[in-house]
Amino acid sequence: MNNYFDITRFGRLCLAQWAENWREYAWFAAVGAMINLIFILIIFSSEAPNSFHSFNFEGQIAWYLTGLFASGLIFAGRHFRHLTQPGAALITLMRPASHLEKWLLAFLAMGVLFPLVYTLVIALMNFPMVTMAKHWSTPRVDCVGCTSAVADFRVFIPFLSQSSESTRANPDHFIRSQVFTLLILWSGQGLIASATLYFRRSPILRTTLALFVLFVLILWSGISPHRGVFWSSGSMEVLALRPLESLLSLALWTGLPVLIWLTAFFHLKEREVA
Amino acid sequence: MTRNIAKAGPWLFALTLLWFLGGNYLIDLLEKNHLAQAHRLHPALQKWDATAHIVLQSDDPSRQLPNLKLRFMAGTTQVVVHNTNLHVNVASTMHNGIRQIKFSHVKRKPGLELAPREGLHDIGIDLPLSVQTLDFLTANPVTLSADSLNPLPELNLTLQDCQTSLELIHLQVHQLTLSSNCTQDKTSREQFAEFNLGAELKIDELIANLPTGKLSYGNSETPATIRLNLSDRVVLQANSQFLRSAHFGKPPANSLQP
Repeated sequence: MNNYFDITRFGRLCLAQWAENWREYAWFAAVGAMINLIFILIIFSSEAPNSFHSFNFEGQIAWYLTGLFASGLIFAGRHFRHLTQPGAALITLMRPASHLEKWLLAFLAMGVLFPLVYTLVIALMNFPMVTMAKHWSTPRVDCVGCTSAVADFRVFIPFLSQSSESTRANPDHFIRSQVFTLLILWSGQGLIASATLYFRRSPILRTTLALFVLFVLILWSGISPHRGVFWSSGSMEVLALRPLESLLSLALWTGLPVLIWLTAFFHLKEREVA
Repeated sequence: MTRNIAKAGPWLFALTLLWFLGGNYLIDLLEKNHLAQAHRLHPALQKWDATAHIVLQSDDPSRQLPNLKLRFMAGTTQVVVHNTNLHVNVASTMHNGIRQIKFSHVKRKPGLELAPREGLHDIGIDLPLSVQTLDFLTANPVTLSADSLNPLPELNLTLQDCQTSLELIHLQVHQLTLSSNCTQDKTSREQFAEFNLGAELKIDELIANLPTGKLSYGNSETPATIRLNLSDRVVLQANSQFLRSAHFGKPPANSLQP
């Protein structure tokens, strides 16, 4: 038995988390699915009977990402909600598990299980609508530069789907974009979780305020984000990235979620100590 | 010890912020240096001796070039090319008294393409008044003008492909001859050979020999002599005075037969 990590103890922690929160998760999924269904019906009826461009491959990607970030960040904020109430906070913090195990559970729930369940729900809901859109859409007769007259109505599944028509020339970029999106999602969720742990009173309000201040600070600095190896556009496209630039951008964007989640770990420790 | 380690949280957050801002700043600096070096090595200004006949050609008509802005300049004897686009190289050769100016796309990583017109700067070409014939095989929009209203005695413009559109503005020519070697019909929304005669033009004699394409005359002043040798497939746009003054002749020999 290890003080820092014990697989049996971790398993019991996961089961306890599931037992206490499965209703919350089910409600969250149901509300998300309901909102998705309403939007699908509105968009479907407004785009019928012609293009259904919101249901083509690229339209699905845009909708998928919007929902993933919106719901993913809300889910992250809800994970440590018990810490806002003194009684529930004590129970949560006194659970027989190490800081590392509680932290790992948070990351697995937010960063791994949530995106998987979200993808499954979205794919299941999209499949019938995309099939109908494909059946009813009219071929594109006046699309300049299109390589085919029929729009791409495959169901989008991240990391499994082949790149779209417009990015087929650079499939490597398609994968890198998805990896980058995942890193940003993890960073965002880590930031929310970290702020929720740090602020003891009114965490939602203070987290929102802190994020706003952070946003203003970054804008004021005048420093714009550079995706480096995770992007291929703009003037740098004519020049291949040098090894140092590639390494720096890789370190920056992979190090960001690592540091943020490390911060969350220490904030969790601080709450327990306090 | 435990309290000290626990208080590492806020410091780690500060480090994260520094990591994000510092990392982006460093990458920005490196990229700017890299780009500046590339610009230093790229010849933005090139000059060649002019000839009466100049051919402008793209190495790959399927890929878009930046817009070409040609300008007749009094007092110059050379062809001067202004090109700040890193991904376009301009070279010139002379053959049989004809100067060929070739635009070639810099080879990049496979599959890495710029979106059309993204980050493109116009390529400016200054021409002396001695240039009389210009052939275009560039497959993109070209604008031709003059910096002053010194009249050119003669100007022959020929479109060698079906994708170049040529606009003439602010120009004075005694005899202007427009020709096209495009014999394809326009289909759906593909471009085709197009002459657009715009504002501030003073032409004494206009001759057009077009098997297909489009000729558009938007100037208020009508040439004294207009000879149009157009096939039935040419789209002609002009005001009524221009059309009344025009003499329509036999279509060129390379016109499509129905």
